[in-house]
Amino acid sequence: MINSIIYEAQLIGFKEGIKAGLVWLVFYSYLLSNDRKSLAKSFYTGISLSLLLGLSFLLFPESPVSGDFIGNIISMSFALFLIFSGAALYHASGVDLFVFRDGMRSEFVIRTLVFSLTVIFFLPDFTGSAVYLNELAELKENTFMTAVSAAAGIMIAAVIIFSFVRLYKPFWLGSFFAFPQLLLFLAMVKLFGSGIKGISELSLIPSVQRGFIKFIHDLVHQTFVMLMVPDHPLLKKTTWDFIGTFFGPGFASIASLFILLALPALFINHTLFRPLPEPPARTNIARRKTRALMLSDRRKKAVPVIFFMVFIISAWFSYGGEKVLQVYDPEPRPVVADNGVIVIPLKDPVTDVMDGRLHKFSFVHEGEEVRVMVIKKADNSLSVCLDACEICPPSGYGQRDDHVVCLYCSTPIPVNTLGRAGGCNPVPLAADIGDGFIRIELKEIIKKWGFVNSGR
Amino acid sequence: MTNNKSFIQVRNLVKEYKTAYALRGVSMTVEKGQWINIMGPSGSGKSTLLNIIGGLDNSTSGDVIIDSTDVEALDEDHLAIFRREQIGFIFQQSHLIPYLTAVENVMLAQYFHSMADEEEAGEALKRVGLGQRLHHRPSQLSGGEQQRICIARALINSPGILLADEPTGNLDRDNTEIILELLDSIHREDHFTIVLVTHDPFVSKWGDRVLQMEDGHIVGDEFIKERVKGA
Amino acid sequence: MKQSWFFYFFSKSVSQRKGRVVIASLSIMLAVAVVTGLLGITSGIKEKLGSELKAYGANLIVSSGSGGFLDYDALQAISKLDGVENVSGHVFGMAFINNESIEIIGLDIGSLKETGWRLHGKWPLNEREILAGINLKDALQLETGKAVALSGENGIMEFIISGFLERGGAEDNALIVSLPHAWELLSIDKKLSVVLVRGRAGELAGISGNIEKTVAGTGVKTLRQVAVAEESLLKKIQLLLVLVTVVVLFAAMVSIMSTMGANVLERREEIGLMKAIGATRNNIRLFYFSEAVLTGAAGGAAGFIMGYLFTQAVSWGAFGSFIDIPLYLPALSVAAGLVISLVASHFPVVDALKYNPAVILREE
Repeated sequence: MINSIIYEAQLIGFKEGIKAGLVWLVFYSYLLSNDRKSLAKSFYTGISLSLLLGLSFLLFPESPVSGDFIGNIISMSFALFLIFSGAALYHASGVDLFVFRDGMRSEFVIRTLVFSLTVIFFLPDFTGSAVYLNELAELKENTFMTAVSAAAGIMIAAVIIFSFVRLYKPFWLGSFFAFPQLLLFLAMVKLFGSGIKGISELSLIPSVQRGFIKFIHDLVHQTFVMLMVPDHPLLKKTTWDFIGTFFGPGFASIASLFILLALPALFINHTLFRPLPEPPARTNIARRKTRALMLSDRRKKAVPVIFFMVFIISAWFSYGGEKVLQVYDPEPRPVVADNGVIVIPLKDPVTDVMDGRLHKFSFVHEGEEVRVMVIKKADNSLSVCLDACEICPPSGYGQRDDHVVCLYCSTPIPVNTLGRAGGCNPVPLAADIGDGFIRIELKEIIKKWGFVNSGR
Repeated sequence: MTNNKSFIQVRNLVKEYKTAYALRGVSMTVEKGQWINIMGPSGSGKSTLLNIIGGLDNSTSGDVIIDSTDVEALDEDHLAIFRREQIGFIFQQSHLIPYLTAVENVMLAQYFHSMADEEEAGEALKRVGLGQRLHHRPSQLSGGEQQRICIARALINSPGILLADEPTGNLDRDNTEIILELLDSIHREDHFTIVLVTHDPFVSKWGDRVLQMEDGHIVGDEFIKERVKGA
Repeated sequence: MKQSWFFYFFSKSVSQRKGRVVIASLSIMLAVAVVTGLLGITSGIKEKLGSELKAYGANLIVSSGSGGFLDYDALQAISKLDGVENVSGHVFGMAFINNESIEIIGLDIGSLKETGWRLHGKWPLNEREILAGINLKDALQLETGKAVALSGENGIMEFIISGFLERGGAEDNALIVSLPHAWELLSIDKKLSVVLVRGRAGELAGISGNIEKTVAGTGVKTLRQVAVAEESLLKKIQLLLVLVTVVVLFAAMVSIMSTMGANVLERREEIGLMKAIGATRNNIRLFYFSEAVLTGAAGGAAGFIMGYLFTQAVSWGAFGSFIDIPLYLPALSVAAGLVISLVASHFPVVDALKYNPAVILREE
């Protein structure tokens, strides 16, 4: 067991190392080809600061920030780089002018910009990995070994990158990147390398999809809420089925693919298909030569973008697609009340409610099926709720990764927010969890289930 | 220009084949803008000299310096780049691509140089009098017309030097005269350097200077005072 | 103005020599088809073979030595033998639905519940209920709960389909009925075609000897023997396919090499000229390798389609059902086509790069 944790810690270190090495390589090549080698210092300062700050999280046994929070920050920084690169592309109009044009910005501003971009890029990733390492260490109470293995992982990555650079001197890479392309590259590294759980979470694509689902859902629901219109009773199931497809998985997955491809497509259009500006030239031959140079330059700059598009599509198929979208809907297990208390064992030969999957239990009360659902949250606490919310007819919930999804209106609810009352949230139940059992007062369930059903 | 006096410098050039010598220590200089005809019987080494100047062939020893570039020191790809920038070739056979039209054959040279430009290629063909024949295949054209496409192709990238190896060898007198007159008039306008190899004394009437070669040696070098007038 | 001069020139040059390019593509297609077929069949067959053998959980198969039927009493006798854990008797025959002949398998339906076959519908409960193979559902438009009229040796009998069985084998095309029904339909008196026996592991030789002694005139084979026989057959088929693949690959390589070689030779003048007017080696490589890519991709794609059809034809012939081919196979096929084509083109292109333009351009 301890071995697998050390192995995983090593992988995390390795991943972060490779990521940092790749970003360094491309950025440094970019600087070389633009004759701005001196800016590398700001980059080194930024990455060292991020590493130190990130590693300092290893010192807190109880991490002050949650993995989820960092996950959100990472997603946001991904979006930030994506938006930046779009803006830079728009600003640069096909020629590399944006920040590095001589005399356009003062040296100090440029240095600060490089420094802050580096910190914005690396700090969330390093922190996320540190927090996750902490969790690993706690699990086995071996902080020292975990840290050492992670450091070993980083060293291996460093050796690989170093020898690769020594052997092949791949600084010609710089000629493929203009500033917008560089930012797009950073966004792509985020997209594919910023999951915080080792290699098991290499891609942000599922979270992009879920973010999209949530966005559309909020758009629809919050509009109703704002208008103070009780939407669920108002619209029929068939209508919800229809609306549901928009924040349902299928739509979101296609839409997220399009969203991810939109910017690269813009790049391609910008770099490959726009008419060339007419170069000032004395002779036909000089004009042809300049145009040929411009053409080959912009073809080169399109290469990384096409590469990203292929990457996005293949990753979308392997990470996204169906896998993210299937909803797990278990059969409820029948339970009976004992002295007015429902007792559910935490673990028996058939089920283990702590296994991270959704569990449902049901009993019949006055001829009607009443369902309770139990699921483990990320902080290892158990959430006990009714398998129904206050507004939908009680169709119940299914599980999709770390969300539960309303089977009636397709609303996704993050598992870690379970316990909140109201709205689309499953109705939380007061439960007594201890010595191997969950105990719920029958009265509590009946009262709330009755309330749920009286809403209509 | 500082190098005006010696645009092409050839020093002690030797070319040795397995069984025989083609060049046995040839030295010469050509000025920028000069039209020089190299004459001699077949086997005298004049074509070999031309090919080595153009970087199509290697010498056994000696130097070829063109516009301060040591041609012999270039590797194959840099030679190719040097050729497309600096040198235009015309051969005895036209060597046109049979499935491309006249204008496309010229565009091919543009493509390897930088990029194809149909309009410019058309202009170049008009200049050699083929404005009406842009979209004909080589097989639909006479030998003289084919050779005129070759002139347009050789000059499309404004090379500093035009190397012509028996350019009129397959043509009759009338066509020979037409081609040389054409070359003469373009040369008067653009002032590139011409090195032309021929065994035909009729051809050597055009040009500024005649070099006689025999058995791998230069045996004569004379300047022509009065060029044959074109118009 | 032509948008991309390279593609224009390239397509003109290729269309000059359409015949050659097509022939090269065809030879790649053949090679890729064989490779695809080989991979498809081997990946599919293993699965099929395993399921055929494992379906009944039996390890001995008893049949009449003369090819006829066994007496039903033999089943009882065998089941009482020492070391025999389980027996099931099967009877095979034909009946007709609407004049279409259908295979009938008679067996103890209760024993099927432990075999892990997929059932769509319910197990038969009533006397007149039977099961059908899943392929018959669409073929004969059967539905669960609906009656079918079966005509056998004793005239027409009505049954109700209670469910459909799916296993991916020959049973998917048959009707599965109880033994008494099968006897009635086929008009035979308490006979069995085969008896499948699960004997205690490690004692199979002894058990099969005992069976042969107890029931006169029977032949007993271990399914292991059947499996080994089938497996060795499979290995032979695979070996054959590998040999054919090697030969075809070699032939394809040679064919591409000679096509490309002829191409290069034919166009010496063109190559020399391109060099003279300033083409770099990369310009020339691009030109010829583009042709190789075109040939390889086209041949690979066509080869995949052919190989796929071939695989399914073989599977249909051998197992009566289709094989699911692995998802990577189409990509692999095109990649194989590209590799063959590029490798084979490599040498002629290297040759082309060595041509001395000075020599070529002076040739008459």
